[in-house]
Amino acid sequence: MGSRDFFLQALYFAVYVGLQVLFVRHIVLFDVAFCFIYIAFLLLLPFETDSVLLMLIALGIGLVVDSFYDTTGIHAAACVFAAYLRPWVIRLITPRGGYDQNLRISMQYMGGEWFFTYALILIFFHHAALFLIEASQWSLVPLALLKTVCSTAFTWLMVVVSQYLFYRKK
Amino acid sequence: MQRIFWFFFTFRAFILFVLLEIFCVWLIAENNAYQGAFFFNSSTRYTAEVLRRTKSVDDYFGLKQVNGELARENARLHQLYQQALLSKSAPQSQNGYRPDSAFARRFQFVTAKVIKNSTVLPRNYITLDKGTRDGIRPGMGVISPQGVVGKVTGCSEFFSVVTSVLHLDTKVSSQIKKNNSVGMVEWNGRNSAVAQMKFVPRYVEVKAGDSVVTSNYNSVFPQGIPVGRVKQVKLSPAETAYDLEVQLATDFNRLAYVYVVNNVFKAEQDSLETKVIPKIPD
Repeated sequence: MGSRDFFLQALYFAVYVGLQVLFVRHIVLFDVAFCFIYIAFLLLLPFETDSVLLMLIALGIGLVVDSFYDTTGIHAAACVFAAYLRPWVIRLITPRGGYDQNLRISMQYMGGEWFFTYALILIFFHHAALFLIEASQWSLVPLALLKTVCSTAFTWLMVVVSQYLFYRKK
Repeated sequence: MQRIFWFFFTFRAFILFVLLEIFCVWLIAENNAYQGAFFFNSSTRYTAEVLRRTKSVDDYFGLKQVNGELARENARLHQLYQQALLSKSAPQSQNGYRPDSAFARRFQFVTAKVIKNSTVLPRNYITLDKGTRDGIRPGMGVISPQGVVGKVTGCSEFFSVVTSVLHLDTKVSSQIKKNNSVGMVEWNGRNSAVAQMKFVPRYVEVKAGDSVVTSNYNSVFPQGIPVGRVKQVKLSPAETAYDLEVQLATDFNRLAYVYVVNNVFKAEQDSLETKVIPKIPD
């Protein structure tokens, strides 16, 4: 990773976390659909990012978001979980003929279908971990599952829309 | 030996994953276990500063509602003041009991502004823009003009974090106003407008609409602060106590300014009580 890439990723980090804690934090539909757009930062890190580095970054972004939600450790745990699953998911949905060299993770490079599936799987696992840890009581599990399903749909939609808006073909 | 290294290398992702998750679980447990033992929470300098600055933007949109609330509270306090003037000459109680003047003035109030608030999580916290510099300490109660809000859990120099009544672990010792029967108000993590009240014995009469206020058995809140109104009375034949639904007096979605209650005698009361009673809920 060159220094230009590093600064670009640092910029993305700031943009996604800023977006999350300043604006998207206030948007909750019907008390059950949350949007955690910051997960897109983890989804869009380059293919070749080492899994160890990926998890450490996930821990970092999770703790920053946690500090704004006062949920110390919960977002971090969910992000590390999603980061751990990421290489497995990428392997699981390998397109026919494998991945080409020099591809980047985005809708424009990978095509809509691949990106939709990839984002949906990881967002679902992240949200499931997040809401189940947060519930921490058997009686609240049904509510947590409802939140997981609604929020996964909401976040996924926002991630896909942001791809359409900001990563258009040049 | 080489094999061990090879093992660690091939499973490094999994091992790190497990270690990091253990770290996170430790954070979560630590955060819930002790009062004031907070890491990375919203009273942290940078987090709170960001919250305060962004909050000042949307303050303008809430001005009308805040004004209305303050006007209503002014009216209420004015009325109380008149009553106090009138009853000053009358004896305080039938038995001629007069509270010590220091005890009667044991509650001090600090006004603080809410800079972060949530109502949709199972454990909601509120961040205030004042901290230890203004005399706020963990354990103090927080009330709004409408009613009970929560209890201070963590402080930094300029900010503090309050455990809201909308938190699975919060318990508020309360009583039905008309007959002084004491119970415990808790929240089940679902509806942000409704809490549950337990331990009100079945032999007292409770109707929907009765007001619920803080009891005088707690050292955190002054007695008689509104908690809410009984919304629904449930009584199963096998139970010895009611199952009450309480419509909360405080509208947590619109909190703007709150009072932090400092009970000057809290330390004394608590240390005396812990000496005598093993554990007392607040």
